[in-house]
Amino acid sequence: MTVVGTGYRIASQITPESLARIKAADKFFYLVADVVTETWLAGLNPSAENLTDSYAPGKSRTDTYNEIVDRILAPVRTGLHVCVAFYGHPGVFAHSTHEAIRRARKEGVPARMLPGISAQDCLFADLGFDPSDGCQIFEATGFLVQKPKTDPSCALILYQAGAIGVSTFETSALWNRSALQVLSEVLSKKYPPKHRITLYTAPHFPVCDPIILRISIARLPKADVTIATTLFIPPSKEPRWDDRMARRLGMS
Amino acid sequence: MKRKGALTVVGLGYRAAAQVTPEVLSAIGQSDKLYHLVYDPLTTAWIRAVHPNSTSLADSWKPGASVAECCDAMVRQIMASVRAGTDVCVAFSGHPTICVYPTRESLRLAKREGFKTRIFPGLSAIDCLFADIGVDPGLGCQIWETKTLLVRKPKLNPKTNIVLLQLQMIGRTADDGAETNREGLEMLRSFLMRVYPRHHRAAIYEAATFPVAGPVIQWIPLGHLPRAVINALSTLLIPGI
Repeated sequence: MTVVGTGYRIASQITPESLARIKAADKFFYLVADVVTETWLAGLNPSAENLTDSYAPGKSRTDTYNEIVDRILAPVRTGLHVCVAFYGHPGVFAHSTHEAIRRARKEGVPARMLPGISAQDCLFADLGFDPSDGCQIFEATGFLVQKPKTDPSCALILYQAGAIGVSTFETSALWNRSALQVLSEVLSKKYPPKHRITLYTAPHFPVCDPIILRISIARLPKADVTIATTLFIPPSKEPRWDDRMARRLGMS
Repeated sequence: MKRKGALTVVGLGYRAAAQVTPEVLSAIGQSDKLYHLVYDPLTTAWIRAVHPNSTSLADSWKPGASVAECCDAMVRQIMASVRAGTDVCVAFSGHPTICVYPTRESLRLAKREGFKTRIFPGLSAIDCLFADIGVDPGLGCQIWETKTLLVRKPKLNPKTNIVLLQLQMIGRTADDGAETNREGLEMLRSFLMRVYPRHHRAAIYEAATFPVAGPVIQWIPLGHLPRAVINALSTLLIPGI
């Protein structure tokens, strides 16, 4: 079994190694976010099967993930070479892919994941942000519920801010507007309310530009957020700088 | 009006041509001049085959020069071509804006001087690590360049995954040998020991650089870090406690 990513921009971010696995598979499944990508993927392998129908409005996403894992593993158990394609990077915010690989390996089937260009990779490129300067990444719901300690002198990236606290699947563009108020309040305790944050949406279509909005934390509850939006919160404090260490490391 | 001359920065991923995306391939094809910095001879050979006018930036690594001096030499070379009105493409292994000073500085200069700039992402070592070790960053993840971590001393949250890039570059100038790395790893160990128990296990990860090869993953207790065998591709993953 191989799990691959198709990247974010339709057909233009897929890697040759992933494309080769899709074409060579006995059975091919896919789960992507738009009809154009679906049409393109369906034409790559005659056995193509869309996993989207495992989602339904109001259905718990945990049930959906379990159903997807079962659907993928069924042909694997009959000895077929199975390839599963997810949009973006198949291992980022994708419970079912990691679980399917774990179970396949447990059953003695070789399983591998090939990386894809993620929304995060597009963000790093489009915002010109280098994560090696230090960055903290959380899923927005986990950030609010688990209250992880974060450092305001280091950039913070929050995913799925449009789906906070929602465990079902919905068809609307924004799944929970009222939670943005909560997120705005929590962030205001760590950052000045006027601190400017970036709302980023990676482009799906090859010729389109990303959507980049800069707003203050206080304006977040009314902002144009969808489930595809990523929040980028730049540092609000100067980072510490250990002069003695910098000299030892030859950096000054 | 934009000036004649343009700068496009692209990432090649790691497995020679096997991770090059169609948009990156087309950006390379459209450029008049290609500069590249890659890790292995197979990728170099592939680049020579796809572009008639390519130059490696590896010659900028001069014995005795600091990393900053070498990077500045790369920026000067890239910008000289852009300023001469050439449509320049710069290709790096991995993702072109992660841990790559020459692209960051060239893009800054080119934008300031009114040239058209574009960036196309590539698969990073972090992407390969997520896929090969089975880490989902959605559960919480912190990313740092190792040297920056040691100087800035952030409050680390040991409950999340931590990815440390450029392990080999701690305290290193361009032509240092293995001994400096040992000392650097010792400094890293003592910083991490404030937050983690000695026996907490971490993975030293190297992405595969050949299409059919697998990654190299060594699991070690953090207390043994100074003895680890590392190279230019090594990344450290510290899973949450």
